[in-house]
Amino acid sequence: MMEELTMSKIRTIGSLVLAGALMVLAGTQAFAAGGQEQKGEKKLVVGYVVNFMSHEWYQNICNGAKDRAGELGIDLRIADANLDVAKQISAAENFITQKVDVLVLTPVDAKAMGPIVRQAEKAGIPVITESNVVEGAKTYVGISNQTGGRKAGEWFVQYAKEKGIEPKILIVGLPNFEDCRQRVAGFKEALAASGIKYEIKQEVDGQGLKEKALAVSQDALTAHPDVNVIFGINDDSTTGGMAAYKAAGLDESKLTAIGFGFEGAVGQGALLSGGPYKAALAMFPNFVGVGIVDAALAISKGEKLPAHFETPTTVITAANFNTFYTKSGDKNVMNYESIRGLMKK
Amino acid sequence: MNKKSEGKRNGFSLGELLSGEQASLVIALAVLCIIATILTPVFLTSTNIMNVLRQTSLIAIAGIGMVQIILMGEIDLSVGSTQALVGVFSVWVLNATGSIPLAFVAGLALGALVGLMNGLLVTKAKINSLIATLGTMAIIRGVAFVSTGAVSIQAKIVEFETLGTGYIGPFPIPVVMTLILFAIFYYILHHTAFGRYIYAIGGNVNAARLSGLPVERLKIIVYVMGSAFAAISAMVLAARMSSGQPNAGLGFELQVVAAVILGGISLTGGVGTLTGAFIGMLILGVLNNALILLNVSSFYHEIARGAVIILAVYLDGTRRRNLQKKLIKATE
Repeated sequence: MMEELTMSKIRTIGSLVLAGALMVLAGTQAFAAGGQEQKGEKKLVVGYVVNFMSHEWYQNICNGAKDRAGELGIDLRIADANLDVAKQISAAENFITQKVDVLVLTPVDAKAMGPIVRQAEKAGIPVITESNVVEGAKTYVGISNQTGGRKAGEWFVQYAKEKGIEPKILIVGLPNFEDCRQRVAGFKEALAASGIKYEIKQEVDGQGLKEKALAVSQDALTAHPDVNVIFGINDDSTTGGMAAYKAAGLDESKLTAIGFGFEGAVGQGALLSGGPYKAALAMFPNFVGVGIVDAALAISKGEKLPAHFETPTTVITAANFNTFYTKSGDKNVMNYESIRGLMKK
Repeated sequence: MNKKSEGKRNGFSLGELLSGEQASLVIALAVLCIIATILTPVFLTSTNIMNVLRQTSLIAIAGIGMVQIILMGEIDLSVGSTQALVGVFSVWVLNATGSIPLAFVAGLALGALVGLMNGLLVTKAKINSLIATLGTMAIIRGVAFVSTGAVSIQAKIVEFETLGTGYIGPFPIPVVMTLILFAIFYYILHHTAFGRYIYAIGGNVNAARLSGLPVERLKIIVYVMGSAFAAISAMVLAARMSSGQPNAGLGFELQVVAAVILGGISLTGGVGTLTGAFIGMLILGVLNNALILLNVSSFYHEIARGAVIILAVYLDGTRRRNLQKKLIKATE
């Protein structure tokens, strides 16, 4: 019986130390990467808690931020909240404990950030937010959704005039999100100001996801088969609408689809394929990442930043695609200089 | 049926056997802490330790309730969804009445109601508790989404935050709450008849019933308490976020169950101590904290957590088989 007791003891300790060993393995990888601050000059330390790193959009932001941090010699640490507010707060608390110089947040929920922003303030750490305004943060880095929507609308008005299209529009939106409401508002603003004759046949809620967008667009197109323009608040919404149009057996050559976001393969593929996807409002997520690091650097130097640190947007078409993207192997690499040229500062 | 000898069987001889298990848990926790400190010295700072304790207290408070439910031979998977519903409800009451105490009581009451529902499903409707609480988990989450339209509710009274972020001396309020509740229920579980009844029901429910214990009533009481604890944890979380989030607590129930099993509570019931469960929760809490401090990608967190859960269930099986062998030997 004594042997059994010792055996199970050994097994218990052994198994739990295994869990610790997992940490060691993971830790040595992270430690090697991040443990250089002891050497030499004091690097600026920026802690960034992303809300959802599994999404291509945020991966692009992180890549842009990492590139920029590397250029400027800044120690950028990124934690992922994985759409869990409690996790985001814990990660932010841990950054505060590590005494980062600037804390950056992409809130999972802007309303839940109050306590952690106050905590950071008490610790003397300035907070920057990305894509959402949070009270107490020094600035918010991101595009202007309203302006972006308007640019897309203005491009479309021009296109409609050239091609003699009488627009019957289906808008695939996401009414739960303020950002997306603003994109639609901007688009409508441009339409109204244009003086052309147009009709918004229906607005549907695609929840920003392709399958949902497909489903709701199918119903809308059944009710209004004369739709010839689709505007989506992101590329998944637009391509979902396009798929519904095709599934309904309607003539794709009569369709004009305008996307928003243009963050990756979905948008680029659709644009370059020569189909109905004619243009998109590019949000340049990589550049948003650059903006985060630039804003953090400015704040650490004590510069005063505007409440909205605006990152550039532009309408991309097959025609001007090559100005902003260069083909590298089978990937399209962003052309930072051209994008920087868009910024009016 | 001498209740005293039954108590002895569940309290003392098992206690001796299990204290060996607890020692190994404490050692494992110490080893983890040492490794963490070596890898990232900031782990051992008082700020970080308070962070770990505060972050673990969310699981610990709900864990006190879960320990009793599992000791009884049942389980409650709805605690995660309760985090969402009670969080949303108490913030709503807070905004409607402007009173923090009222919001707290309201949340507690809703938790108790959820517990009652679970208890009745398990005892009166005689539905297996895994299935029953799986169902209530989905229903409660659904109610949280429906009632809010999937949009979070912001707390309009800033002082509400203090429940989650405030301090009493050097200790975060949630940690103080955890310690007080732990002390109370340690006493109840190990030094009162009620505690012995819980162990008895978990050990052998038929023998317990034949001994004259009101098994159904006790189960309902424990379920009500379990959800009340989950409700307290929910409100601490809502205070930390100063908002009620309808998607709070996703996966929370698995974390609580894993922590509790890691700490020595057997899934079949009747075996385990509150202290052991606590150490199990601390181990998971330290693991979570260290993974973030070391800047490990969150994708690894999932792997680590899954590995610990599998480890916990494996250890549980091994412990049960060892225990059976010892009990058989003891009766020979």
